[in-house]
Amino acid sequence: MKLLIGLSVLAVITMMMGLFKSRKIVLPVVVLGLLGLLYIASGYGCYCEDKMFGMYINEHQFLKMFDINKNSGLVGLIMISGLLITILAHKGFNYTENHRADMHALMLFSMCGAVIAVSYTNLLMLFLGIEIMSIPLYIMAGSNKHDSSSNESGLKYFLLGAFATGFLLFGLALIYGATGSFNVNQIYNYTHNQLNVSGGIFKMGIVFTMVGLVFKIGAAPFHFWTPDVYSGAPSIITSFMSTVVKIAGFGALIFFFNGVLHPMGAEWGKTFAIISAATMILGNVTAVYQISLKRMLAWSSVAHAGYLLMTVAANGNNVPKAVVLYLAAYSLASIATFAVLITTGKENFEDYNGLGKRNKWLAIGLTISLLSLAGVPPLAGFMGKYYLFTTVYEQYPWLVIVAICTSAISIYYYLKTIIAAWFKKGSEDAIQVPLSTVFVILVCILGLIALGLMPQVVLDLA
Amino acid sequence: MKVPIEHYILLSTVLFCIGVMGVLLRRNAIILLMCVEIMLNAVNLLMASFSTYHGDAAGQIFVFFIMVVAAAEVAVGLALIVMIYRNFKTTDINLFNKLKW
Repeated sequence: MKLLIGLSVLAVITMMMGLFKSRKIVLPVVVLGLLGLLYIASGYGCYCEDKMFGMYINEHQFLKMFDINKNSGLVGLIMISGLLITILAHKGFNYTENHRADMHALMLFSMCGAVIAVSYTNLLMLFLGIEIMSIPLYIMAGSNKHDSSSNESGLKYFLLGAFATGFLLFGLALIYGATGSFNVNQIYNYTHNQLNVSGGIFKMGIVFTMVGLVFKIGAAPFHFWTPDVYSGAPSIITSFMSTVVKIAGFGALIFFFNGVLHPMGAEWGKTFAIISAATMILGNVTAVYQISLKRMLAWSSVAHAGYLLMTVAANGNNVPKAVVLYLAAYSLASIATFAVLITTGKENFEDYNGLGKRNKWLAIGLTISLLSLAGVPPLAGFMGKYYLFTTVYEQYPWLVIVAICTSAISIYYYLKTIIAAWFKKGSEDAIQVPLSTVFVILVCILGLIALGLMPQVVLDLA
Repeated sequence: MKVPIEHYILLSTVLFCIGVMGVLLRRNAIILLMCVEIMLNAVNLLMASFSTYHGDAAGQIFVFFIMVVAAAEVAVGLALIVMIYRNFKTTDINLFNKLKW
């Protein structure tokens, strides 16, 4: 709870600083604030005296709206990714110099929503978390006012996001109608006690909620907005969308299906297996044909959503740990890649020809993060995939085979970029890299290597 | 005479479907926004009727939250549409095809 209050207060303070034109100190204040909050967040996991927003309905029924301890691993991941992206924003927000403070504030508000979305214990908070996360994002996606593709991306994201919200809400309303409660424990009991739940209303509710949530994370039948929005939005915002928002979306989805609806796994497991296979195939195959690095990354984020959805289908108990590891590896690698993208300011593959000659360190950062995304052994991406595949293998061997084949395809397009960076001839002008970006890339690379060598650290924490 | 719950479910489902069809068929961004609002209001109706059916206030409280979020969403959405209109001089979403594949 302290974390959420802190985040929102920090966001409001940041907004005020925009009002008083104190642009220079915005970034240090936000970074320091986030570091402080990260310190608070590190206390979760073992600490439970947190009754401030719990509601006493009567003496015995203690209904909490959310519980940050529940998914402390994901909360930590959201905070760390948010912090890294904030540092990156030192350069990334250059396109909107006058609204720097507002953008930081929006990002913090969005992070509030993300934290709520991974720690809800009441469906009201699931809805509110996802909306608090999304509404600032609509603004951020369209924040480059004079760029037509940013405009288009903002409007697309807004219309489709609101549309998906409608489905999510309709699903929640039907679930409420069948169970008579929004509390996840009571819904769990309902599914647990009536294993062959006869109510069509309840099942329709699950279907609609599934559509809404799958839309938000951008998986197969509802993935079409992802590449458009990701490639149209300013790069710094894309990095935020593909890390923090993805983490929160998955946190919400996995807890809803593997936690709340766990007893009914047999009924929706197959659907998720099919969605996951379709997402992996579509994402990886389409990524091969892209000519823009940013768009390729968008499609690869669709593909990664597919890998993660495998765990939802498997519906196992030790799933969240593998998911946290995978999301950590994916987020760090994405942030490093986007850091390179923001520094060069170019989006097409051709612009990366000969990057190794222009700036060695950028090229090394790009190489390591793309190798990790591809899942090459000593790096974190490999360990993430390994744990993911082992948890799924028992139930869905065919799904793991699809995943391995599509990973093999993905190696092609990741390597294409790396080869362009080191071996192709391009422009020779040296690129200046600001210190903040160097720091972010360094942290991400060290994190990727460390997690690859000692994945147990995250697995124990989560 | 008491109206059975099925009627409410049917009514809100029909409203919801009208909203969905509107979003899928119409091409003006403002009409799309209105159709999304119809969808959300269908949900409000459903929540309120289930709330009365169960004799539980949580559903009605949820309705207030949906209203607040919908208002916030409309504020942001209209601002985006105004920005688009300034740059493109239209709100027809068929013209926004710069981003594809």
